[in-house]
Amino acid sequence: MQGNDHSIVRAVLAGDKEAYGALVRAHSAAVFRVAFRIAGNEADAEEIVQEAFLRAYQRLDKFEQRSTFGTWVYRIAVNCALNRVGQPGIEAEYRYGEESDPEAKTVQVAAQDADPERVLLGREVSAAQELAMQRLTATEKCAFVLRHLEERSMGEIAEVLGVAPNAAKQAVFRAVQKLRRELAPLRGNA
Amino acid sequence: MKHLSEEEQLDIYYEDGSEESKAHLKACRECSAEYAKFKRSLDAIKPEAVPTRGADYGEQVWQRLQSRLIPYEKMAAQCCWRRHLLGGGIGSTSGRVSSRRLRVMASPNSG
Repeated sequence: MQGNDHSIVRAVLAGDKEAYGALVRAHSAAVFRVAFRIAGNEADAEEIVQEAFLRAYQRLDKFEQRSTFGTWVYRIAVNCALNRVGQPGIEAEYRYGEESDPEAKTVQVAAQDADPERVLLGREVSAAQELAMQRLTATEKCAFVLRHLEERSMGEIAEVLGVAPNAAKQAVFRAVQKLRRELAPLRGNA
Repeated sequence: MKHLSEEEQLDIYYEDGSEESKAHLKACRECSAEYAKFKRSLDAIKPEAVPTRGADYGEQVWQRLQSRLIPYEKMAAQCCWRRHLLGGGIGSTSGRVSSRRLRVMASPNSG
C-alpha cells in the first residue's frame, strides 16, 4: 500500500485530483477513530476527518516520501483534533450526565450485560470517565489517548505533538494522575 | 530501599520500565501491591466504543470533500495570480507569465 500511496500522491501533484479519492477511501476509518477518541463525539470527529484530508491535500507537495501517507494524515488529524478540543467553547459545552447521545451509550452497555443494575453502573462509570477526560488539558488528553488507547510510542506522541519526548511523557503522566484521582471514588464500586 | 515512584510504575505499565525498576517490582512486596492497584486503575480506563462506520465510509468522506479541492495545476496557477495581484510577482518569470494571462483574461475579446 505504501508504494501505491506514493504513486497516488505523485499523480495528485501532477493534477489528477480524482486520484486523491483513493487515499481518502483507504485512510478515512483510521482517521475517524483517532478523531473520535480525542474529540469524544461524532460531529466533531467528522469535521476533523474533513479538515485533516483537506489540509493534507493542501500540503501534499510537502509530504515526504519516506513516511507513509497514512501516518502523515493521522498526525495531521491529531493536530486538528488537538486544536478543536483546545477551543474553550467545546470543553465548556460538556456537562455531567448530558451525553451527546445517551441512548447510544445505553445500547452499547446493555448489549454487554442485560442486568439493569450493572447497566446503570456501567453508564455511571462511562460518564465519569468521559467527564474526567474532558477535564484534562487538550495536550494531556491527546497524549493519553495516543498512549493508552491508540498504543503509540512516546517517540511517536512527541513527534505528533511537536514536543520533546520528555514533555510528551510528562503530559501522559499528568493525565494519568488526574484520571486516577478523578476516578478513585468509583473504583470501590466498579 | 527506595520504592517505585508513580512515574516508574507508569513506565512499567506501558512496558517502558528500566530493568532496575522491574527487578525491584519483583523483589518488593510493598511495590507489587502498590503496582497491582495502579494497574487495576489504568486497566479500568477502557476506550469508549468508536461508532461503527460502513464499508463505504471512505467514499462518503470523499464525496463531501472533493468539491473543496482544486486540482494541483490550477492551484499553482492561482498562486501565481495571487502573487501578481499582490505585486509580489512583478519582474519574476511567473509574474510575467501570470500578468500576460491576466491581460488575456481581461481582454473583451478573450471570450
